[in-house]
Amino acid sequence: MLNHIMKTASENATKQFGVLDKVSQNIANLNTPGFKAERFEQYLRPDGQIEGVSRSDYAQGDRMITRRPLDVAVQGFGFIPVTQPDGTTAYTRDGSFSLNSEGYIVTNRGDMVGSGIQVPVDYQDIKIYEDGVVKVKITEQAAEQQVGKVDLVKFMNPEGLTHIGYNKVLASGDSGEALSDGDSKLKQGMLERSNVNVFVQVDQILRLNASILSNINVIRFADDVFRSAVNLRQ
Amino acid sequence: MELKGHVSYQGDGLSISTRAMLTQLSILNVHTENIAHFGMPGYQRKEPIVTSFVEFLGPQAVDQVTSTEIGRLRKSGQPLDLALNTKGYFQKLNAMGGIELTRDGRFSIDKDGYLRALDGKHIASSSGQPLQLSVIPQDLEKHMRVSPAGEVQVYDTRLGELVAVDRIGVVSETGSVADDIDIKQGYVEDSNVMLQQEFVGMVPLRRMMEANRQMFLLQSDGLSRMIQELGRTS
Repeated sequence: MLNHIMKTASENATKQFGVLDKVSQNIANLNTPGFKAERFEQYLRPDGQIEGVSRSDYAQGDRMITRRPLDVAVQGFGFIPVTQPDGTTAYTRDGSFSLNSEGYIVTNRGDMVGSGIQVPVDYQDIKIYEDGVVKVKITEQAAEQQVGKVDLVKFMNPEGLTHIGYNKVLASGDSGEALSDGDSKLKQGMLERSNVNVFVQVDQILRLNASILSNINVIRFADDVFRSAVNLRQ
Repeated sequence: MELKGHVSYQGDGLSISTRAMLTQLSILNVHTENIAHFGMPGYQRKEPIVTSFVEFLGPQAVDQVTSTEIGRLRKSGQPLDLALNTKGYFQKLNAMGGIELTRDGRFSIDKDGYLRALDGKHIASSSGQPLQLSVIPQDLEKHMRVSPAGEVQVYDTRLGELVAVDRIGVVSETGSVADDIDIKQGYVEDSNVMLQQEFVGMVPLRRMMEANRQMFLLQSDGLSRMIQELGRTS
């Protein structure tokens, strides 16, 4: 019985520490563009064991103006497809792009945006339109010419997307196939801030703190009882 | 213990004391369970009940009743978090066709529009069937409403208005349909465990343990003195 009590309390304290890990991850990404807060939700199985699932909150983050021509913010629920070095497609909402040595528009991690949009070296001006069309001007007077298009996609169930780190997600059986998204818009010269609410996170830390401390107290209590049981005859 | 020309020892006194200590441990177990599940939304506190004949039954005399008090409602802002502000339970349909009752209203929508609990089980509508949305709203915050009576409405883009889809089934603990319910959307019901109450409940346990231990010592000492001194003739 005492063993069981101690085990329950220490297992639970460990699990709460695990949740604290997620909370600190959210707080660490407070300033990551396009980051979506993750919630680690615990629930009870019918046999009394605690189980946890990670859930993402896909609410729109605030937009911040950067005036950088290669910064885009997604307005709506769409995702930007990116081509990873191994050729597979991942999706992101982080629109802080740059150009690589070959003139391709790439993300912070060096993944090509879309299926590869190459910009001429000597461009004067670059415009990314709301529907994703990328146009450049070679000289001040020249007409704009289209160099590519960022096709935004959406998912029926974004919560089912697989997180692979670096602010990227992959489509999965739970999320459904990537569908073309006609509703979302790209806003050039802006970034989407993370949607982490710092007050919610602090509230959760306080709650976890109470839970961890009380579990440790239970261990101490059980330990006392244990000691007096062992020394019953003294 | 009896002394009538011969020593007749009945072990009752000692075993009553040890049984009483074991009973205290059983009660401690209930408190530990409550403290471990402090952070589980919808968890209902167990109250230890000691029945009659505890001096013979020992730990078997400890029973638990579930407190149906409503826990604190906390705003989460998530459109799929539902909290029951009245007594009653949501119904989860498990793979075996059975029904599990829960007050944990943190739901999600899968890519086919089914409302699911955190463990992936379907949520029953008032007709007992899995609740499915005909339209999957992209913007859950604006395009999905759950009325206090449990009616689920989604925004139909063609009609331009909210249409009723189904009703969430809420039942009482006996399984009959609960009417007069109050569901709050965007809220989570925390467990109804109060940590201070649990720890206050544990204080007498420690004292009872100690008291029974002293009784055990008294009897044990008495017994050993009797064995050593009674047969002495000089």
